[in-house]
Amino acid sequence: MRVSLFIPCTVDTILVNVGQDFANIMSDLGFKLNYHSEQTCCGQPVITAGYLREARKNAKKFIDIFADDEYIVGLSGSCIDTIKNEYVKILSDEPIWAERAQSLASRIYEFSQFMVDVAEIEDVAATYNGKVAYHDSCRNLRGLGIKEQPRRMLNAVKGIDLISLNDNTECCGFGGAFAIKYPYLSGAIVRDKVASFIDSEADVLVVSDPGCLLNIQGYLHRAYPEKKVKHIVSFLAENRERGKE
Amino acid sequence: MKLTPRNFRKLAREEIAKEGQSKKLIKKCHELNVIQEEAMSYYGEQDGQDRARGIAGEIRTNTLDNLLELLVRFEVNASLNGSKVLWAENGDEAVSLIGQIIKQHNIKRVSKSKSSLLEEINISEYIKTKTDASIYHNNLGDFINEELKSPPFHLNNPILNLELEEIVATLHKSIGIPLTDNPSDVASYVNDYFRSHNLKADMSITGVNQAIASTGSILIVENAGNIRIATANSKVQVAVMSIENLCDNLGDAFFINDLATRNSTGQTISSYLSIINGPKLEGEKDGPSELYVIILDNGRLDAYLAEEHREVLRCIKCGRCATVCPVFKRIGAYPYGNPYPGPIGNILMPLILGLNETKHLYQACTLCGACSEICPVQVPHVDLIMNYRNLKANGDRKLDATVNVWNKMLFQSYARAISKRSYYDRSIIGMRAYLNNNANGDYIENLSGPIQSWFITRDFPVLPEHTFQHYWKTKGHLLNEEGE
Repeated sequence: MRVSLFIPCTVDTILVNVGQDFANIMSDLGFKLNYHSEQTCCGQPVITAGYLREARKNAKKFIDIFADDEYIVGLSGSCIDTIKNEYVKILSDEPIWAERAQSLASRIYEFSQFMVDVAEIEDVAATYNGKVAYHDSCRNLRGLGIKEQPRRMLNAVKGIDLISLNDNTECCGFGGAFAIKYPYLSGAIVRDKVASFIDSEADVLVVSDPGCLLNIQGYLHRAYPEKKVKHIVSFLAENRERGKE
Repeated sequence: MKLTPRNFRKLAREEIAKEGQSKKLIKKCHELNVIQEEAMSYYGEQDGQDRARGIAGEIRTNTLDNLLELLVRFEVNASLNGSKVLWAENGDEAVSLIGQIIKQHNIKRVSKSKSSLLEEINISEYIKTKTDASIYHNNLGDFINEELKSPPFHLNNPILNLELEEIVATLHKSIGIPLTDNPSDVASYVNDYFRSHNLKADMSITGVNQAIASTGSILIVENAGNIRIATANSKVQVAVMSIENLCDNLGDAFFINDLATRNSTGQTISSYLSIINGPKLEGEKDGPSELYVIILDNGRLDAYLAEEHREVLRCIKCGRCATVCPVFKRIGAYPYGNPYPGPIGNILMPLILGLNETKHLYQACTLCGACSEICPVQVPHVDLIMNYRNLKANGDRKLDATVNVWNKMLFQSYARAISKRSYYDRSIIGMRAYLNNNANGDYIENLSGPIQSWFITRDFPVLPEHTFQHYWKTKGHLLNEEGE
């Protein structure tokens, strides 16, 4: 199966290792990979700030770049939610583009969604002996309706003790520009998210959105540098290699 | 500092700084959510509850699709029942209508019920300062908030923030109830007090939970019975409702009310439910001789006609969205500076006050969607917030939104920077240098400039020397060959 990689800008520039883990695990699992090197950012920050007119060009460019791919798989629930659900809206008065956006929406998947729903792979032969908590990123959960898929993949990890945080479905407080505009508010929300992670006594917190990852990781590094938050792709890839040894 | 949406950011920061406050509030919201979930479980698991929300949503859709016809039908039927229906374009008109009624009937004592709409038009202040009548609250929460000079903390749980001890202490000081730790005792002491005052009122002012077009009646719910006493005994009743607050028939009204009750106080049914058809008929013993129904617009009709904002009017004012909102749970009601604290106010107030005045309400949102998910009548809060942001970004005369030129330039240049890989790469090089120059090891812990605020509570990882694209070009593309 041929898969086109959608690497969100946060992964392309900051969390490069997550992107590498992604490419490695997909290749290991036998997928033929495609990477369009002209891809940039999906325009999510522009759209959530309300500059819909300004974001149109970016949306069109994205649609063009991925026009020929049957399966596009990405690592960020919020970007994929933007592409799937916002592009159609912002291009609604240009019928051809709206149709093309609709077509793109039907071909793009979040990682765990693609693996479980399309490729029917839950077990990636990873082993982890320890307690792991999964945090539902808001737009994965409520935008894309992804709830079971990451849990199934994590539960298939040998030795894992998968738990849920107390306030599992509550936002981590990132919200893009929200974190900059309302830093005290954002800080209070992530503080509580981290507190429930610490209380859970899990070794690792697994997330599936780079935004949540940067937010929680940034707070952990300041307050609990020994604790780890990982993107689901990295968690699986890292423990897969160890599992093989 | 004055509690207005303009001051949101500063007020929110003050609330967050209060030791232990958000922990207490999160606990309160959680406790309330538990009983609300329990109440909703009547409809079964998720599927059953979604079905109930779907039915309620359809009833609201029906109301919005036929709003003008329903309003006129309500007016005709209410008038046939003997009520007087009055229309108010804004809050000022509504309160001056009430002022005229007070004068006309020579009213001395007014018994006021709890209603967010009555807060919206600020009737208490008007009666106190502009009329000769005195005003009595017949809701415990309102009464306590007045003693404490605090606005309501939640649409239907106005003293959600208070512990029993605080409630008892306040009532002990103001009306001399004995100190007790038994909530039922408090309720019965307070009821005695409220009843003695309510029985003396010659006019009652109430909200309306649902108006019913086909019968011209109004449905009012409460738990202490004071509204029933006030409306039954006083010679005049004024009921204030907003234009969207009605439905076609009694069955619809009951269903909406059922979901509103389960999602507000977490009860399965309220202790009292009154359906008032009109004023007292000949031979009837109780009820007002005159019943005025004031239908308030206050920005809603424009929103209705504009269609893009229409969905705001789906709301049935249960307030469930507030107690699941990560922002409300941290700061409580006061920073919002309006009678509808939480997500519902964030989408309603821009229609009343305009987009400039309320910018924090629709910006201080992570777009997490917890509100829309739980809403019993399918209000699409997130879509509405996104639309306000869009109107603010581009300017909108109708909703009083002026363009922030600096922001516009910022996002235009961002959009340009990502429009081509070569521009993007150049921007990344600049950003990487800027961030990494300020690094301490693998992380940046402090930075001055536009994103300084990130570092108040968090660090940020240094940017790797190369992008993923570079990795792919140099190594990643070989993965495909290895695989074969």
